[in-house]
Amino acid sequence: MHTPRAWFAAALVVASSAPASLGAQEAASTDALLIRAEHLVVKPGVVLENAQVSIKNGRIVAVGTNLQPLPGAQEIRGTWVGAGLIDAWSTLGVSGDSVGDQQTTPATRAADAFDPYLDEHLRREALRAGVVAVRAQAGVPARIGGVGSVVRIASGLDASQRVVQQDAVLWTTVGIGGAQPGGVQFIDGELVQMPGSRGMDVFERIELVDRLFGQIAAGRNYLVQKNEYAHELVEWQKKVAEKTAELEKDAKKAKKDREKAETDAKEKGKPFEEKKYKEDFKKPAAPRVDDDAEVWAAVADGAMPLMVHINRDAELRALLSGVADQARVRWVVAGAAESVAHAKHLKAHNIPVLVHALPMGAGRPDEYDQHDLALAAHLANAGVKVAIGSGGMDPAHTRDLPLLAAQLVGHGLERTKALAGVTTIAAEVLDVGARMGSIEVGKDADLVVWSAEPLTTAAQATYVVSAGRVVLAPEQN
Amino acid sequence: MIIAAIMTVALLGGGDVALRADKVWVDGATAIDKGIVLVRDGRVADVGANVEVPQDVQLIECQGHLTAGLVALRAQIGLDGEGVDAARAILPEAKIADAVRRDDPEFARLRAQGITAVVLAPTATKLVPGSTAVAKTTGAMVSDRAHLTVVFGGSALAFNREPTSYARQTEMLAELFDNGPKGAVSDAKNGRLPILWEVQSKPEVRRALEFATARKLGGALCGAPLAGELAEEIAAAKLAVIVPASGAGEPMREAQSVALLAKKGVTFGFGLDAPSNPAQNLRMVAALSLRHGVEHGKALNALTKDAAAIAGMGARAGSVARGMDADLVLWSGDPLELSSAAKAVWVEGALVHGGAQ
Repeated sequence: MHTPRAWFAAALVVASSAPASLGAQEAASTDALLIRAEHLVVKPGVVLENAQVSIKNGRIVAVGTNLQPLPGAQEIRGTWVGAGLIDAWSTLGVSGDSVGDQQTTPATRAADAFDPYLDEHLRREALRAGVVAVRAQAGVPARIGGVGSVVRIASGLDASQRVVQQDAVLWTTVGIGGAQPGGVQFIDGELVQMPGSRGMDVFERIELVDRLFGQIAAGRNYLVQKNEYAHELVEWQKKVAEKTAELEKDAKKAKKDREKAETDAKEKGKPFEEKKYKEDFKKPAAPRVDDDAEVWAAVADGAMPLMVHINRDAELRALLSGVADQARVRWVVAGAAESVAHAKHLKAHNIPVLVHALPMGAGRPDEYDQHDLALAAHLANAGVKVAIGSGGMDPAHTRDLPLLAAQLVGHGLERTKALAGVTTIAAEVLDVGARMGSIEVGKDADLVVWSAEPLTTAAQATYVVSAGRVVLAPEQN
Repeated sequence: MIIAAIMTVALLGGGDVALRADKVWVDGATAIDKGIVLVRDGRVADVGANVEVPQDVQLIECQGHLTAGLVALRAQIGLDGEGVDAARAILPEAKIADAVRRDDPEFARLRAQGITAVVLAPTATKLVPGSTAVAKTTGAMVSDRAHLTVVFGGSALAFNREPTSYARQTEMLAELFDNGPKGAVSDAKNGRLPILWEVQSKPEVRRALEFATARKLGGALCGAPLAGELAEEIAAAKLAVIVPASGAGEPMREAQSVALLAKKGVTFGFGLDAPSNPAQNLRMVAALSLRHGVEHGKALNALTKDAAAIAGMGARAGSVARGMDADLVLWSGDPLELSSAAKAVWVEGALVHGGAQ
C-alpha cells in the first residue's frame, strides 16, 4: 500500500514531546509499525529494557532489543509498552436486551449481538484505559447464555478484524439469580400479596449441575453419532463404488444376456421381465442436525471451553465431584465466590477461575454473599490460574478493569498475577491464548503504549495498536 | 534496626509508640521521607524527620506510607433502614446519632480500608430529617450533632404529605429559616451548626445556592455528582462539596466535574454511602479523579484533611500533626494506588486493624 513519505515524517512520534495527532478518524492503516519501549512487558514478569516490537500485516513479526524498522514502518515510542488488556467478563458493545436475554440457547452466538456502533464513547474510554478486547456475551443471567465471542472494541476495524474468535466459550450459569421480589398479583379475581423468594433452593442448584453433565453427555452422544455416521457414510460410499465397478465390469456381458433374454421372450411369446436390480445395502441415515447439540458436542470434545458462572459451595462441590468423568471438557469457573475451600481440587483438575473484580456492598445478590476481593489472591496462592473480569452488568465497568485489577493487588494478589489475569490468562480462558495476551512473535498485534507502569493509577494508554492498526493516539478523545 | 516487612503488633489501648515509615504524609501537600510519628495518649505528640523518641517508647520501623485516617462523608451505617418516617417532613431536633447501632460490622469493613471516621447522615427523604453525627469507625461518637441536614432534592417530595412540589419545598424552608427559627435551625442560621445541603441535580444545586447565599448560610452541598460544573458559583457562595463515591464505571463527566471543583478551589470530600456502597469505593473514586486531572495532593486531602474540615472535625483529625488524634493508616505503598493495602490502622492511638505479625 503506497503512502506518501511526508505523511510518515509527520507521523514519526515521540511520546514525551507534543505528538502529531492522527486526525479525527482513528485507525490510520499502516502495514508496518515499529514500537520502541523503554520497558517492554513481553508478558507479566518478563520485561525487556530498551526493546522494540516490529509489526506487519496485523501480526507481531519481531521482538528484540536491536530491531530496525521495516521499510515504510511508522514509528511509535513510549516508556511502558505491554499487551492490550482483555475483559473476559464485560457487557460492552452488546445491547442490554441481548445481555439480559433469558431465552438464549447454546447456539445463540454473541458475536451476532455485538454492535460496533453501540457504546462508542465507553469503548473509546476503555481503549484509553488500555482494554483492547472483551468477551461479548448474550444471555448473561440465563441458564445457558450461548456462545461468547472475543471481540476487539476499537472502532474503525474491518469486520474481519473485529472478531478475534467467533465461537470462543459456552457460557452457562448454575444457581445464579432466581431471587424474586415479593409483590402483589391478581389471582382469581383478588389482589394477593406474594412473598419474595430468596433464590434457588440448594437441591435445585445441585440438580442444575446434574443437568449440565447430562447435556454434556448428550453432546458426546451426538458427537459419537456424527462420527459413526461419518464412518458409515464412508463405508457405504466404498460399497457403492465397489458395486459400480463390479457392474461396469460385467456390463457388456449383462447387456448381451439381457438382449438374448428379450429376444427369447419375444420368440416364445412370453412377456419380458426385467431383472430387477436390488441393492442389498442402504445409505446410512444422517443424524438430525441440531445446532445446540453441535455446541454441546464441541464442549464435550474439548473443542470449546465451558464457562460456568457458579458461586456457592454446594453446587461447586457437585460440579467438582463430577469433572473427573468429563476428562475432555475444558472447564472455566466464573464467580467462584465460595471456592477457596476447593482451591486444591481446582488446581488438581487444572480448572482456571474468572473472578468478578467489582466490589459489592450490602444488597448484593445472595449468590455473592461471600464475595470477597481477596478470593483471587487465595486461589492464585494455591496455584489456580486466575483471570480477572470487571464482572458488572454495566458496560462502563470495563473501562476500569486496570483499576479493579490493581485493587485485587491491594487485597493480596501478586502484581504479576494481576497483570496476567487481564492479559495472558484472560486470553487463555477465552481460548485465544495463541493469538493474544502477550507480545510474542506470531501473535496478533494488540498492544498498548502506556503513560506509566501498567495498573498504576496514573497509567493510561497514549497509543493503542489493535489488529496491527493504530486505533488510538494522544489527544484523540 | 530491623526494617520489618510486616509490622510487629503495636501496644493496644493507650500504648505510646513511635512509627517510622518510608513516607509520612502530614497532609496531601507535605510528605516527610523516613518521617517519625510519636504517639502519646492517643494523640500525635510529634511528627518530623528527626523526632526525638523517648526511652520508654518503642520505635517501630514500618515499610510503606503513613497517612491520616480517611474520612468518609455521608454513610448510613448501623441505621438498618432508619429514616423512612413518612409522616413528617420537618424534624430539625432529631439526631441520627440516637438511631445508630454502634456495633455494626460494616465499621470493621471501613477500618480495613483505612477509614477512621465517618459522617452518618439521615436519609434525604424528608425536608429536614435532622442532624448528622460524626463517629470514629470504632463506633465511638465524635459529635452527635455535626450538621443540620436540609434537603433541596426531589427525594424530599412525597405524594402523601407536604412538600409535594419544589415550589412548596422552597417555601417551607424559607418559613423555617425566616420566621423566628428555633433550636437547631437557629443554630444553623447563626453559623453555629453547618448545614448539609442534600441535592442531586444541577438545578437543585442552584436552588440551594440561591437559598444559602440569600441568608448567608454555610455548609456543604452533598450528593450532586455534577456539582463541579457550578464550581464558580459554589466557590463564590463559600460552600464545600461532598461528591458521591460512585466507584468503577463512574461516568467520565462526573470525574471531570471533580477536577473542576479542584480547579476552582472548592473544598471537597467524598461521601461513601456505605453499607450499600462498598468501602473500597472511597479510594476508587479518588483514584478516578486523579485520572481526570485532580492532583495527587488534592485527592489525598479530599480523603483526609479537607474531609475532616467538612465533617467539622478539622481541629482534631485529618492530618498527621501535633495535637491531632492519632488516627493513622500505614499503607503498603502510595495511598492513591489501589494496589496499596491498609496494613495497619489506628484510631486514637489504638490499633484497630492489621499490624499483626
